Formats: sequence, C-alpha cells, structure tokens
Amino acid sequence: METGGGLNEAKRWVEELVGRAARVASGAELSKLREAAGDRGSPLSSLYRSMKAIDPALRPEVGRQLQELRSQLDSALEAASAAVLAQEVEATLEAERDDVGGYLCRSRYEGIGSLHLITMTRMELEDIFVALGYAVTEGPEVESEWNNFEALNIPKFHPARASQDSFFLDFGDEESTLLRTHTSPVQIRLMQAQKPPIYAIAPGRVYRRDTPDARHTPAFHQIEALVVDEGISFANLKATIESFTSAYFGPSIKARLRPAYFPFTEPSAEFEITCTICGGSGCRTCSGTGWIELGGSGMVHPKVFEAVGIDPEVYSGFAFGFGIDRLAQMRAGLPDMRVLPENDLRILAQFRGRR
Amino acid sequence: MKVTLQWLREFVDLSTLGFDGDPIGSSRDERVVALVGALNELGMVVEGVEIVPAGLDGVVVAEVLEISEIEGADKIRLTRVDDGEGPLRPVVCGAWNFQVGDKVPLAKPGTTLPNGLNIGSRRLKGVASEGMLCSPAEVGISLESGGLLILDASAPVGESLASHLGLEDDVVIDLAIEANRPDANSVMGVARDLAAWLRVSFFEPELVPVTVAEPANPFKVDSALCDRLVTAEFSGVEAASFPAKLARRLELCGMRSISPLVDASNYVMLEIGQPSHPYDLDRLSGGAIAVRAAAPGEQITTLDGIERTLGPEDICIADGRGAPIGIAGIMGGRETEITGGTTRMLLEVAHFDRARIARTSKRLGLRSEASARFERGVDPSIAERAIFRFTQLTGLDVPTALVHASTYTLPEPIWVETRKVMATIGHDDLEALLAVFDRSGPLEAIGLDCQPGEGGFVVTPPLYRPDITGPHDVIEEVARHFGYARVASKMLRGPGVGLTPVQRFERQLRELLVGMGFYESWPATLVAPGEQLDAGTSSGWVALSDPISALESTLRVTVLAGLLRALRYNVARRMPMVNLFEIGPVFSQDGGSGGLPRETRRLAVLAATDGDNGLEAIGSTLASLRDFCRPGALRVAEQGTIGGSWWPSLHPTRSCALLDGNGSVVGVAGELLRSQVAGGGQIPAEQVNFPRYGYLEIDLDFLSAGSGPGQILPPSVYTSSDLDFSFAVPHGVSIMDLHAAVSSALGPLCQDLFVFDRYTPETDGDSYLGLRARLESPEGVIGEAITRKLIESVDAAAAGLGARLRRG
Repeated sequence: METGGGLNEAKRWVEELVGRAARVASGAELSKLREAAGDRGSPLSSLYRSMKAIDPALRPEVGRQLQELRSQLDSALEAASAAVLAQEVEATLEAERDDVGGYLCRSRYEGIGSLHLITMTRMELEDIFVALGYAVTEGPEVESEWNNFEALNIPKFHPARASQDSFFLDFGDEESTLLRTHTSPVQIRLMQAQKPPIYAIAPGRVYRRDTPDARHTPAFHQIEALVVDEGISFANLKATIESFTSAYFGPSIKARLRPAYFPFTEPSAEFEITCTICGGSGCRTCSGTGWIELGGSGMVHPKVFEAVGIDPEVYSGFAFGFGIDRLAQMRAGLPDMRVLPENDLRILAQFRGRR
Repeated sequence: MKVTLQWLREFVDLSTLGFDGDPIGSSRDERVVALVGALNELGMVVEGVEIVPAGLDGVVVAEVLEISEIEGADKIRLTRVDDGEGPLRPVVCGAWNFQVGDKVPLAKPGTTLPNGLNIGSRRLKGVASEGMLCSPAEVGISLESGGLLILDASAPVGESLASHLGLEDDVVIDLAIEANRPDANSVMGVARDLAAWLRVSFFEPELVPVTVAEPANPFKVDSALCDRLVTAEFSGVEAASFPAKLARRLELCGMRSISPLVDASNYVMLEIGQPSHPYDLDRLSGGAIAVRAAAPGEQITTLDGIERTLGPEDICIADGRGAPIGIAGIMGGRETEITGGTTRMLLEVAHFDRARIARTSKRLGLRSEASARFERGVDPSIAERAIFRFTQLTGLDVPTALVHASTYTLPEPIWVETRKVMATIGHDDLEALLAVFDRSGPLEAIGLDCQPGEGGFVVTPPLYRPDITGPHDVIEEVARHFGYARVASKMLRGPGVGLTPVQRFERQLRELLVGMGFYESWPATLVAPGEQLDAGTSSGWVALSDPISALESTLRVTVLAGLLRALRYNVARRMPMVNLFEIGPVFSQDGGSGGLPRETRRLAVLAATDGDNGLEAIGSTLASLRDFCRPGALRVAEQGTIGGSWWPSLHPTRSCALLDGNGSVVGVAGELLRSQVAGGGQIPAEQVNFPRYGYLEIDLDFLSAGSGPGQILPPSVYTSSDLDFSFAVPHGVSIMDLHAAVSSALGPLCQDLFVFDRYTPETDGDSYLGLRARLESPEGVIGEAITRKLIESVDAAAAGLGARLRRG
C-alpha cells in the first residue's frame, strides 16, 4: 500500500514535469525546470531514498519503474533544452532578417563597366581569323599619301581618290600626310616588313571626309585580311570569305562574290551575304534582293607587289576588307551610328553583358 | 547609269530570259529578276528597278475643231474636239499654244495619266468638260509643260496616243558602273556584255553610210590633247525632229528632253557612249573650231551661265579667231550655243586626253555626262558612227564627216599565259575555264581578239576597253565571264601564330578596367583647339588642312582632350558619375619618324566616386596597373605639373608624374581641376553638380613592354605578424618616399606595406601617417628580437627623411 502510493505520487510528479518541459519557451523556464527536477525533496528522490524500506520481493519491479521515470524525465529535459536552443537560434536569425531586394534594386549605372560595342565586334572577328591561322597586325592612323594611295595603285586624280575623300594634315609637304582612309596601308607596311608567307588581318580606325548620317561617322573601323604566299588563288579567296562569314553569322548565311573594281586588286570582287534580317527572302534592309553587301576583295594587283618589292612571278595573294561598325550596328540593333562619338553613358551602359 | 529594257532589246536578244512583249507587272517578275541577276553577276550592279508602263490607256489623238471664249473666264477656253467616236467632245483647256485644226492628245474621262492624275467629266464656270487636252509632261514624254503637245497633222484621229507615238511599257534599270568599265557607260556596251554572258546574239548597229573625207583645211588640233576630231555641218536644222518615243527614253534615263538637236546628241551619247557637241554655225566665228591648251587666266561663260577661268592644264575649244568657246569634253560655251533660231549647225565629235578632262573637271567642280565618259575612256573610233546616228535620229540630210585629226593608237596585243590564268583563278576544271577563250566565246563577244599560241593566248582588246592593258586585266575578264559563282572554293588556312603577348595583354587590360566599373569610350581623336588647351597642352598638335568643322580640326596630343568632351557631354546631361577608359592614339608635330607626325597609344582612365575625391577614385586603378608591371617599374614622381606639351596638366597640387625605372615620364595621374571639367561655360555650373574626377593617362607601350610580375613564390608556412607604425610627418615629406624607405628598411621579410591611417591637422603642424606591415619569414615565426631590430631600422629610415616614428 505504502509503496504503491509513493510510486503513484512520483509518476504524477514526473508527468507534470514532462508536461512542463514540453511547454518550455525560454532559457529561464528551462533553468527553473531543471532546478525542480533536481529537488532532493521531490517524490522521485524520496522514493529512491526509501528503496531499502520496500519489500525485497517488490524491490526489483519498483526499481525498474523508478528507472523508467528517471529516464522519461531526462529525455523530456533534453528535448526541452534542444527546443530552447533552436528557438534562440531562430530568434537570432529572425532578428537579422533583411530584404535581398534592397540590395538588388540599385542604379543601372552602378557595377561593372563594359567594353565598347566596336571592341567586342572587333575581338570576335579577330578570334575567327586567329582560328583560321591569321596573325593580327596594326598600323598608325596617320599615314603617308604614298602608303595610303600611291602604293595601292591609286595615283593622283584617280577616281578612287574622290570616293575616299581624305582629311589631309598640315604636316610636311602639301597633301603628303593624311588620316588613313582605309586599313589597306597596313598591307603595304606588312609586305615591306615581312617576307611571305603572310597571313594577317589588320583591324583599325579609318577616316573619311563624309557628312555623318545614321550609318556613317567620319571616323569608323575596318578590318582587312591579307594573304601572300605561293600558289594563292581566287578560289582560296572565295573559300576564305565563305568560312569567315559562316563562322561569324552562322551556317545558314551564305556568301557570294560579284565582279567589282578596286585599284589594288584584280580580279576584284564585292562580297555579299544572305540578308540577316529576312534570311534571303527579301526585305527593306536588303532592298528586296535578299543580299547585303559586306565588303570588297580581290587578288593583290601586280602593281602593289611591285611597289613593295614582292616578286609576282613567285608569290600571289588576296586581300579583303569590310566595315566593323556596320556589323556592330547589326549586332546591337543600334539605329543611329552618330550616337557613338558622344560617349553617352546611357548608351554605353547598354553595351554591358553583350556577347 | 540608267538603261531601259526596250532600249537594251534593240541590241541584245533577251528572249532566252522570256522577254517577249507580255506586260511586266512588277520588279519581282521572274524575267526581271533573271535580268537583274545577270547584270549583277557581270559586276554591273543593279541599284534600282522601276516598272514604267506607257500608262496612256484612254489617251487618243483628237483634232481641235472649235475654240470659244467662256463667259467670265480669261485663263481657260472651251474647245470642241473630234476623237473619232461620233459627237464632238467639249473640253475646257487652259493652254494657248494651239489653234483650230491642230491634232492634240485627249485624255478621256476615266483615264489615269502617268503622273497619277485622274481625269473625269466636270463643269468649269458652268461649262461641261469631258476630259483633258495634254501637255508633253502630262503624257510623260518630257518635262515640257508650257502648252499642249501638238501632234503631226497626219496623226489619225481616234488612234491611241501610245501607239501613234510608239510608246511602250518599259523597265528602267539603274546600274552602278565601275571605273574600269568605260564601255558600260552606254546602252550598247551593257547590251554587248549581257549578250556575251547569256551567250545570245548581239545586234551590231547598222553600218555607217556617211561620206567620210579629209578636209582641205583641217581645223587646228593639238594632238597631245585630242587624238580624234571629226565634224559635220548640217543645214536646215530648224526642220530637225526627234521621236517622242526616244525623248521618253531620255527622260526615263534621267536626262531632260530639250530640243530635237540636243536630244539627238544626248541620245547618241547614252546609246553608244560618244559625247558630241553642236555649235550654231552662224554664231561660230570663222566657221571653224580649234583644240588647244587654254591660256593662263582665259575666261569663258559655259552653257550654265557661269563664268569660268581656265589654265594651261585645261583643254579649250577655240573658234576661227582663236577665242575660247568651250571647255573641251566638259561643257560648251554660251556664245555658240544652238537655239530655237539656229538654222546651220556644226557637230563636234572628238576624243580628248582622259587625265586632263578628269583634272579640269575636278578643279572646276564641273562634272557632266560628257566629262564622266571622257575621263573613263571613250572609243576613239566611233565618231563617224555617232554622226550617222545623229543624222538618222533627227531626219536631217546626210552630211559629210570631216576627219581633222586621227592620231589615236591601237591597243597593244597582250600575251596571256594559260598557266597564269589557272594559277590566278584556281579553278581546277581547266577545260571549262579556257572555253571562255573559244572562237565565238564570251571574250570574243565582248570584243577581245584571242589568238591561241604556245601555252597561252595573244589577246588584243578593243578600243572601247582602254582599261585592259595587261594579262591580269584579261584574267579578270576570264573570271568574270566564266562566272565568279562557278569558281570552286578551295579552303586555305594560315600557319596559326595566335595573338601576340602584347595583344593578349591589351585584352586583359580592357577586361580589368571593365571589371573595375569603367566603360570603354569611343576615342575622340579629332578635337577642337580649345579642348587641347583645356587639357593643359598649348602647342605641338597637328591640324587638319581642310577640316569639316572647327570642333574636329586638330589631332589630340593627349587623350584627355578627347575625353573632356565625353565628360562634359555626360555631366551636362546630369550623368556626373563618369567612369570611362580608353586605349587610343595621341599625335604630335614633333618626335615622329618616316615623315609622319608622332603617334603613340595610351591608356586613359577617368574616374568618379561619391566621395568627392578624385585621387581616391583613381588610386585603386593605379595600384592595379602597377601590378601589371615588374615590381618597381612604375614609380610616382614629385607632385605637380609636368613640363612640356606632351602630357595633360591636372590639378597642380593633387597630381603626379608616373615614371619608368629609368626616371622617364610615362604617364600622369591625379585629379582634374573643376575649371577643366566646366570648360568655357559648356556646363552650366549652377545647374549641375559634379564630383572631383580622378584621371590617369599612361603610355601603352610602357605598360605592355614590362613582362609583368616574376616567378610565383610559395608563402611562408609560419604564422605572420602585423606591425603597425605611426609617423609624424612634416610638411613636404612625400608618402611615396616614406613608404619606399620603410619598405627597404624592413627588407625581404616585409610581404605587404600599406597606409591604414592618415590624419592631417587643420593647423600647420605635422600630419600623422599609419603604415601597416605584414611580416613573414620562411624560416620561422618572427621573434621579438628581430621585430625590435626592424623597428630600429624603420625609425632610422624615417628620420633620414625628416619624419619621426612615434613610439610607446
């Protein structure tokens, strides 16, 4: 009787404490609970202490039940302690709450800058030609009349000079120096400096005395390719233009050549590509023809070889060139080229992230 | 050069393309597409196609039978005309150049004229008008609109005007003719090329039945200037006529129809490429002309009424007394111009020196259809043909053509090696390629005489192809008439050297700056002198000899001169956070080589921060650049402006020169003056706030020449120690010097040394500087003994500069 009463009391007490433990909401409550559980006067402690007084026959069973109550209480406390810890962590994290949007919604002008649209286009073109095995070369923007015209078989009064109206400089003899009107003088420099074989491109800035419009600025950019080697033919020129255009524009874009006249090449050809807007079916951009004119090309003229001292009986070569700006304009859908020299940040910022 | 389909068809059989007479509805008609394709493949690029129907349905020949006044109207009259359909038709008309009995065009109600005008029945001043009587302009045969078109008396009443005049539906094709194709500046030349390409018949025009004779007293001709002069005298020219059908062709090809004589002269030029010039023989002193070099300062009033001054470079046509009456091959003079009253006429057909015509035309800024043809090249042998065609078109009596000069030379034969043809074009099917040389092949069709020889051909070009002078010219014709599209492509690859280290460095540099938040700008290399001055240079720049505008009249000596424009542009638009960089050229009068101005490339960086401190803004960029160089290769010099005109001047107490290892100036860094940014009031200062800008300009060759940092060293495995130093720095001691001294005092143990604290008192006393050193040793933890020794060395080094290490 005695024993059963003490056990029941201890059970009730443990039940109450386990119930409290499930509701513990703070570290302070947890401490109080631990204090209560360790109270030497608690029914559980009293029962332990009175074990000797219990009938030895019942003792093992009582001991087992006591042990069970103790472990119930211990796990409840442990769980409560974990819960409190979790609550504290959660509270700390909650206190640190912040809205990511506050950091993302910033001025569009903040952050990284950008390469110029022209540079991006130029680098992509360079990469294509580097992959085709060409070297990249450059020349000065200020040139001699000889390099820019004379050596390229464009003597004075040649009609081709009129179509490349030049900015001559107040420097040296009259009309002896100018801002280069095309990248072709780099060809001359290359052939004078280097024995064939030559496989090179020359990207760069050129100047013409034209009135600016939506597609032209007085300073603009060209890229020129020159190959001089033994056994170079028009068939090689054609293949090179084809592989360049399909590398840059994609395999669905075809290239074609048609006869043209340039003083520094013969045979000469203009090259066109499938219109990238309509895919060849005809639209306003291509004036309904399905083709867009891209640049000029041809076999290096014997007079050019003569000017630079390369023997045309041993070597032959081809050259071709085209505008970088037009490709850049197409790439970005830029309606008017005249905004570029202004360096308006509101334009430049839109070059960011382009490929 | 514009040609029309019907005109071409007089010379070339286009039935293979399907042209037969069926109307052409649009430029997408497959026959037109095929024709355009053929012209393009020949290099006569089609720039425009215009379908021009005769457009005269409902316009008929009518006879004016009555003319009466309309009450209350003094500008219009009522006519009654017979259109062959029964009752007379009342038509109100505002023209006055006709009388009863004249045959005129009548546009019946319901007609739409070529100019788009719809004709209906209406009432004018209470009078019914059923249609309209038409001027030449209204029926589209000339621009003449001064009165009605008066038709032949024999014109049958009621006949459609189009069939009476022989007007046809036509297609106008606008061709871009290259400079090496003088033959293609004529309908005949285009047709000849087309016939050769399509392998169809070319109709040689009728042979010349004019009598050709040598004059008893030939006109004086300077043979160096003119190698052919043929003239013909015509009388009774007031009776000359010119078919309306052909006048319409002139209009379609962009030339005005003026009078039968002028029209015929122009028509011959467009058709066969030979310009000619008519003189009023009664106004021509001495009835003779001469060809000579102009005397210096000689003056002449040309047909356009402008007085022009000639010089000895120009070719002048003189009259019998020797007075100038025309600029040869370019434009005739007003004095001897033919007029409506001319009865006797001299037609001059000549061949002038190409280069001189080109020079004179350029110098005078006077380009005519004739000069354009002469400077490209005209066939010197077709003068008689031109005279015959002129006579035929005008219906005048056949004259005698007098040959005053004929000293032109025949083209030289050209030896063309088969091997060279093959090597240049690179098409392996040699047989197909060489078929172009065949008898009755395309080369022969365009007039190249090809005689087979051992391993090649002897090719003699025709007189109308003066551009063909060497084997490569012939090879181009072979390729052209073989077809560029037929040449089989042959892949070619280069040896593949890749980008050079310098090119790779430049790309890296650009990417670095982009990552730091800078935008690459478009280099403004052409700037105004004021911008050069604002950038702090005062002379030494190269000017353009003939700039378009003063704003772009000089080449920049410093990048800053160009970047200031971009800066001001953005600041004025309330975009003050201008962070730009540029890699571009600068130019100067002195220091160049090879007869050219000096041109070098530089990197420039313009930086802004919220902190309103330009040096702060540019500091990290400069520090990063230094990492591209070998240690110690980029040094900072004494603060202040740099002498000379080769570098920009910045804020004099907030800037420095950048030096290479040898102490030469390779750049400048610092802060821009506010006045530099504001310029001459280009930015309304009270309206726009802008921060202080940092600026850096540095020689690109210097940056790229340094091969960068050396070998990578493994870091020490032992714990490092930080050592903070605080210095009292008197005015005048530079931080860079102090840093260098401390760094060298600490020696190789010092892995990093940087400013971590600065204090400058308001008063004149010393400022305070905190330097933090990170010390590491590969041999072990740095102990107190070593630290104490280092502090002593730093103390001594600082003292050596006049600074004091604060201790304890």
